[in-house]
Amino acid sequence: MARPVKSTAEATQSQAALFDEGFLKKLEYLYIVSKKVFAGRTRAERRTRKVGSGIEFADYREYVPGDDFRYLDWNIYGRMDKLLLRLFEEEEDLYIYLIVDASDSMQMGSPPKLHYAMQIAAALCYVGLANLDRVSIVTFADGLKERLPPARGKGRIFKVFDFLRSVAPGGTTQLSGSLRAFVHQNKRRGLAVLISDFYDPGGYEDAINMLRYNRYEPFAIQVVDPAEMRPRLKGDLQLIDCETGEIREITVSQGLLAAYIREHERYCQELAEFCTAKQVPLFRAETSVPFDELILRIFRKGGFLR
Amino acid sequence: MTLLGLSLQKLALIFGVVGAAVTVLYILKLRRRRVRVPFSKLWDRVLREKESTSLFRRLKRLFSLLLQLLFLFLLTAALGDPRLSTEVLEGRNIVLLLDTSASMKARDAEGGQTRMEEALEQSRRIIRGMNGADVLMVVRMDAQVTPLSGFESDEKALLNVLSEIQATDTRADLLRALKLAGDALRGKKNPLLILVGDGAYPEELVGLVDLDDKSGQRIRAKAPPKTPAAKTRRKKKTASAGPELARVDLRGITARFIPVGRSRDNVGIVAFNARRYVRNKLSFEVFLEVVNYRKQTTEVDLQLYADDQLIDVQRLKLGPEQTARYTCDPDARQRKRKAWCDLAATGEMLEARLVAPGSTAEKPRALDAFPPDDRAFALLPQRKKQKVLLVTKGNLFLEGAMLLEPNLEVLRVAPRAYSDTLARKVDAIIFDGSYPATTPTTHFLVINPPASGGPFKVTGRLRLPLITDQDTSHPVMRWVTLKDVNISDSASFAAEPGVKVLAASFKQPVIVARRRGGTKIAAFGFDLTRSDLPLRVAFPILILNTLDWFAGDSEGLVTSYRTGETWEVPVPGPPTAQTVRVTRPDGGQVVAPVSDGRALVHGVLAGVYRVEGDGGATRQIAANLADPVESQVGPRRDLVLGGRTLERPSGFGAGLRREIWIYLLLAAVLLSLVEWLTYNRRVTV
Repeated sequence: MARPVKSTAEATQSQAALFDEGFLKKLEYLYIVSKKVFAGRTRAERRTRKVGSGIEFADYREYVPGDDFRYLDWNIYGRMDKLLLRLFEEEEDLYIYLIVDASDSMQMGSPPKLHYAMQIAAALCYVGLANLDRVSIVTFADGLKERLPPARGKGRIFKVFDFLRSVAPGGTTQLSGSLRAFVHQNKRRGLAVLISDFYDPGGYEDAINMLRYNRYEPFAIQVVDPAEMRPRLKGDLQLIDCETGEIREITVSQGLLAAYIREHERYCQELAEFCTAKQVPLFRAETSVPFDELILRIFRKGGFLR
Repeated sequence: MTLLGLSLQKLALIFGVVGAAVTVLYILKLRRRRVRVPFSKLWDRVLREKESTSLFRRLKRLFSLLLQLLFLFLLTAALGDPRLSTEVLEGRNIVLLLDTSASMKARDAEGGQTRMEEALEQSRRIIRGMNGADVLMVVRMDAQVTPLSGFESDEKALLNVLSEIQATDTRADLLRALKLAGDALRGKKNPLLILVGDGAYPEELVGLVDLDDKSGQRIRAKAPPKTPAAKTRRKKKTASAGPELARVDLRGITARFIPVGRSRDNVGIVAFNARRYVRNKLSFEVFLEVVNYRKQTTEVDLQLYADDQLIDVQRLKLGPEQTARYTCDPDARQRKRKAWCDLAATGEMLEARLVAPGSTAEKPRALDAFPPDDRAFALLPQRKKQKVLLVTKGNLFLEGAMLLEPNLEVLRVAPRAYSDTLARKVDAIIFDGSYPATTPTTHFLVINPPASGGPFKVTGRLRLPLITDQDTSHPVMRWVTLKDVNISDSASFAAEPGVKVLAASFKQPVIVARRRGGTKIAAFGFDLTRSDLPLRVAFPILILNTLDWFAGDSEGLVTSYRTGETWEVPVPGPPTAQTVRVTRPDGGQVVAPVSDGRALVHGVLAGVYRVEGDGGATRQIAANLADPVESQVGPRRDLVLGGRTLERPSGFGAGLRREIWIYLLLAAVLLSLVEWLTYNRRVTV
């Protein structure tokens, strides 16, 4: 069980902006589920392939001189006259990468999607830290931007808050290029939680595949604003793309609006189908859904947290 | 198609400029609301699908421009005020002369309507068919010619004017109406006179109108038909001041005629009067004339009522266009013609009725198409005894003269016994050689008045005056001759304004009369006992004439009046009344002024009128159409005025406003609604 977090005035302010203390306590009981088993660097609470001084039995092997006699299975030696050494699973830490989209499109919405994404990131970060995992946060837009080096232990949560607060949003969304840079920079494999609206004109497929091919375990969280899904537009408008600045003049009629809603839904559906096909868990996080409900109910129900 | 508003060049200019502006505005980019979106790629996809039908979309936008231009065209065309006919290039000044005379009451129009109703319907059509630039004045034509509106173009106001119009029981004064119309239209552009009526106007009158070719081609004059009515009309012609003076100049004015009426079916009473006999005021005789205007022999029942009690019925068989005259002159009696003489009914109000044989009160049958002349009224004077106060020291001549009249109740008093109270109780006073200090309000005769203080100013005395001048037209002097009357001496009166000189000796008035505030006053300037007048036959007649004049019961008493004229009706009650209240036969009430003790009443309806003076005193008077011209209801389909047959009016579209601009504006409004709807529904965007 983690110790109570030591608070400072600054930390409290940042924390208050993201979630309250009661929520933090609830997060402490959560655990990020990883299907794959990654090799950790230090002993922790995650089981690994590595056999060693754990308590969970893993396998036997032939005794070679120099091995610790304490792990010899004497019962087998008595029955079969063979010296076999008992192997135990080593429990190590897990690398969790929270890759947050900080492009211009994430600043839209009410509340802004980036704010919602940061709350998710902070919450997951806290869950990871509380489970002694190594949590790293990376932001990106048209490339990788700020990076919080892997941290461990709940005491680091304030650094996480500081980091999130210092994120400077802006830029176009380039998922593929950004994640290519990410995999090159982070050699330790682990969970890669991609938090984005996936509004990338270049597509999101390459980016997710990039994580998969580099043996990360990707999770996708799509942050959407209801106003984007079902906009209330009417009349003669000049649409300006918030990232590219591209201008398009249209006259929005009921029919056009319905067509847009259908198109947006189709876009989301394509993303979901792609993720399902690639066995990448995808969660759609609508900013209208209360944040704690998303974390405590929807993520748990979806098997992302336990 | 003609344009009464802006010219075609101006319209083209407006359309060109505004149309170009509309097109420029159409081409100009719409200032749109800016909206930031997170991912325009999605919109691109949607729009790509939509723009797959871009040709249709472009056409729709073009449709929007076309709608705008059509809208502009309609507005511009409305500014031009286009008209369908070249006839209505300019507004017309129209006088609608509506005949409201008695003959318009004939019920022979379509659908059982009266001619008046049909004429009003035709007039409404004319008004509704006016074009926007036309102005019209409604003039009512009966005995009085009355403009009912100014030159108006407001259809509603004109129709309101028509709704007030009713036919009267009077004759149409055609010449005066045409004069008024001519005066109103002279000098105006496109003058047009439309006469709506039955055309039953005297031939000699319609010939007194000058028209030019605008109104119709000249035709050869035809001799007027020699009907009984026409004969009457010719007689009336002589009464006019002169044909040339009466001529109406309508040259330069287009005259049109709308005929109403179809039937000449009428039998009517054209004259009705009654009088009491002078010698016996309990009896009376009736003068009556019935004319059959039909072309065939007709039988009618002539009924005579006294105070609504039937006292006699006679069946008349009248030949085509024959007149039956009831009169009691000796010639008629000798020829044993029909007469109602020596009638002794108790009633005062006489009524003559013509009814169809066999018609009863329960099952009335219409006699003809023109009921107003089937009834006529007359009122006999009341048969009450006249109270006369004789103020004298004793004069057997006077008393003897009054003994001749049984309806007189004479009270003789000495001058000293005279009082105002006594004077107020009698109907007339005779002062013989005396005169009171205060002038009585009762009618009175003064014989030999004092030199000063009397009712007439005395200028001197005449010795042995010889009566040289005599006004026999005055009721007092009727049937009286004073020539060779010997008079010892007489006062000479001043011929002041208001004083009527009845007899004079070399221009020196000897017998005078006057009215003063309703009081009739007469004076003899001499002493009866100092003349031989009492020995003459003229004396009792003179005295009785004077008393009859006081009573208003003279030979010339009118027992019925003719409608359409201004009647002088003796004021009931105190003659000092300034106004009287008159109740018309239809129940309406008017206030009539009083002049010299006579109320001036203008009546347009036949029937019994009730005149109410001060103190609740009332008098009834009777009024009749009594007009052979109006009873001649035979209509004319073609009216000939000034030798030209008037054409029917044209250029009045029935049921359609001539102002096309209204429809253009309506279309523009409708179009704007369509445009708005299509825009709102995003059909044209």
